Amino acid sequence: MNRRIALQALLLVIVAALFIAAALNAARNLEARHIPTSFAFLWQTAGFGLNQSVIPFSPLDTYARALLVGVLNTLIVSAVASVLATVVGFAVGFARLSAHWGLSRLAALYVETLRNIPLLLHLLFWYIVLLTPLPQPEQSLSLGGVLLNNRGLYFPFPGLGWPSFDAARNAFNVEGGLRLSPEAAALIFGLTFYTAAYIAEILRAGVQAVPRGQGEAAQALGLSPAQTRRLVVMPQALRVALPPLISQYLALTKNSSLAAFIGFADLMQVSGTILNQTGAALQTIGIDMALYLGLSMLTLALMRRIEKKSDWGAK
Amino acid sequence: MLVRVIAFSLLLGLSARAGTLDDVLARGALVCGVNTGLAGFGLPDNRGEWRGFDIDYCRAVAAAIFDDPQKVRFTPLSGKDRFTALQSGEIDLLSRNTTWTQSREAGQGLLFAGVNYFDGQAFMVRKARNLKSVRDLKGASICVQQGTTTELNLADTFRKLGISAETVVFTGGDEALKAYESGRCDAYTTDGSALYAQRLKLSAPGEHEILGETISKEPFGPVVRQGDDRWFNLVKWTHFALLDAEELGVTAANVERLRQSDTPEIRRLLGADNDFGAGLGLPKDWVVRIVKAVGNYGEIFERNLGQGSPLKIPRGLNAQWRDGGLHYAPPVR
Ligand SMILES: N[C@@H](CCC(=O)N[C@@H](CS)C(=O)NCC(=O)O)C(=O)O
Repeated sequence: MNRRIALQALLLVIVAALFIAAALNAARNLEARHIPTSFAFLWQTAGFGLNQSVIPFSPLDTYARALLVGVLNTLIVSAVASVLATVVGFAVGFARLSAHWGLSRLAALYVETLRNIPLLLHLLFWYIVLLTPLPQPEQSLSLGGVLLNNRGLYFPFPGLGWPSFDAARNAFNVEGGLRLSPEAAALIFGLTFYTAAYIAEILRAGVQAVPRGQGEAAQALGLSPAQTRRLVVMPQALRVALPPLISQYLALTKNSSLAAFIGFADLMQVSGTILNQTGAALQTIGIDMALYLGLSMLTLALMRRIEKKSDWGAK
Repeated sequence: MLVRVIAFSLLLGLSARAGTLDDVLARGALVCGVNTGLAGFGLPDNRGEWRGFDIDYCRAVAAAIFDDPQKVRFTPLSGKDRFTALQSGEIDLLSRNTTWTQSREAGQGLLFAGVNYFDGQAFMVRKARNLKSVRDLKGASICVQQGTTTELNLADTFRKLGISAETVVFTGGDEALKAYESGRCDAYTTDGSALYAQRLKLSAPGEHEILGETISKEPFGPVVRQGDDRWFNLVKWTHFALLDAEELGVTAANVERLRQSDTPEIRRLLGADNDFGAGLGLPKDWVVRIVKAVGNYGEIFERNLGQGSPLKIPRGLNAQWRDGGLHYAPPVR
C-alpha cells in the first residue's frame, strides 16, 4: 500500500517536473523571440464593446471583465441548450421507442440526419433561418411590449425600460429592454437540436438495456403500463443513461466554442479579440483551456449532485 | 480551437532556430500562409489552383529559390490564426493581406519585409440608406471579422467620434459579409481592397456603396519570424526586385531579352555582370527567375487587382513614386 502511494507520488513529481520544464523552455523561447508572457494585460482597458452581456460592460472595462462576460455567455448558452436538448432528446427518444411505426421512423430519421450533419452547418443553418424572415428594426413585430426584428427579441425589463424604435433617437436599432440576439438564439437552437439527436439515442439505449422481464413482472404484479414505465423501467434506464448523458453536456459546452462563426460573444470569441489586441497568444489560449476545464468540472460536479439526490445512480 | 491547441503545443516546443532557407531547400517547397479565400489576394480557382496578389508573392519567392513558382505549399489561415502559425514555424512566410503594425512586429516576434499594398479601412453600406460619413452610423450594427486590425480600428473610431455602435464579430470575412447582406448589420467594414472583392459576392452589388471615408492606414506586407536575417532579406529583396523591375520596364515578356540590355541598372538587376544574389543565398539570375515566373510588381497588380481583374482597383497609392504613388524601392547595387 505504502509502496503504491510512494510510486504515485513519484509519478506526480515527474509529471510536474516535465510541465515546469516545458513551461520554462517555452518562456525562454518566447523571451528570445520577444513574445510577451506576462498576464498583466488582463488589467488593461479592453477598448472594444460586446453586443451580448448579462453584466454591465463598456469599452472602458478591463480585458479581465471582457473574459468574464465571455465565460458567462458560454455558461448561459450551454446551460439553456443542455436543458432544451434534454427535453427534445427525451421526446425524440420516446418517439423512437413508440409502438407507432410512423412516429418511430420519424424519430429515427431525425436522429440519423441531424447526427450526421456537422454542428457548424447546424449553426449556420439556424442563423440564416432566423435572420432571413425577420423584419428590419423599423418594421419590428410587436406583441405586448415585446419587439422582434432581425437584431433580436427585445423584452421590457426592470431598469432597462421598454424597448422601442424611434428613428430620431437611433435610426438603426431598437433602444431599451433586454435583448436576446439572433446569434445567441441560433447558437442555442443549433446546439439543442444537434445534441438532442445523441440524447435520444442514449435514452433509447438506456430503456432497451432494462431487461424485458422487469416490465412483464411489474405488469403481472398489477402495475399499469404508465406506472411500469415510471416506477420500474425509467429509474433503471436513467441509471444506465446518466454517464453518457453527462458526456453529452460536456461535449455541448465545448461545442459552444463554435459561436464566433455566427458572431456570438462566447469565451472563445472574446478571447480571440483579446489575443488580436494584445498578441498574448499563449496566455489567452492557456486561460481558455483552464476556463473550459473549469466549466467541465463544474458540469461534472453538478451532475454528481443530481445523481446523488435522485436515486437513479443508486446501486 | 484545434488549430490553436496544435499551434500552442508547437509554440511550447519551438526552439529559436535560424536557417529558414535551408529548411525550405531541404523540404523542396516553400510553405506559405495565405488567405482562406479573398478574391484578388488569395483564392483557389475552379481548378484548385491558388491565385492572387499574395499568392504571386509566394510564387516569386519560390521562383527565386527553386526557379519554379510551383514549389509552394499554401496553408490557408484565418485572421486569428495567422500569426500563431508563423510563430510556431508551421509556415515559412505569411502572405495574407496583413497590415504592418508596431505590436505585430515588436510584440509578436515578427518582421514585415516591406509594404506591397497601401490600403485603408472603409465601410460598405446600403445605398438606400443615403449615408454620407462614418459619423452617420451612430447606433448602427456593424459586421466585422475577428483577428483583424479592422476590428480594432472600429472600436477606436467610434470611441474617437464619441458615438456607439453594435459590433458583431465573426471568425470569417464571408460570414460577416453574409450577415450584412441578410440585413443583420447596417454596415460591413474591412480593408478597402477587400470591400471591392467582397462586394462582387453580393447578389445585388449595385445596391451597396463604399463610403469614401477611410478610417485607418493599412499597409500590407509579407511577414517572417524574427531571428533569421538572411531569410528576412531574401523576402524583402524579392519584393524590392519586383518593384525595381517595374520601374526599369522589365516584364515577364522581355526579361530574357533584357539580359543583353546596355542599361547598367537593368544589367545589375538581372545579374548580367556581377552577382547580387549570393548575399541572399540565391543565384546570380534570381531576379530573372522571379520576373519570368510572375512578372514585375505592376504585372502582378494589374493581373490580380487592377484592370486585368474583375476588381478593377486603380493603382492610386500603389503606383510607383514617379507616377505619384508611394512605392519606392531601394536599388539593386
Ligand atoms: N489587413 C487587416 C485585415 C485582414 C483580413 O483578414 N481581411 C479580411 C477581409 S474580408 C479577410 O481577408 N478575410 C478573409 C478570411 O479570413 O476568410 C489585418 O491585417 O488585420
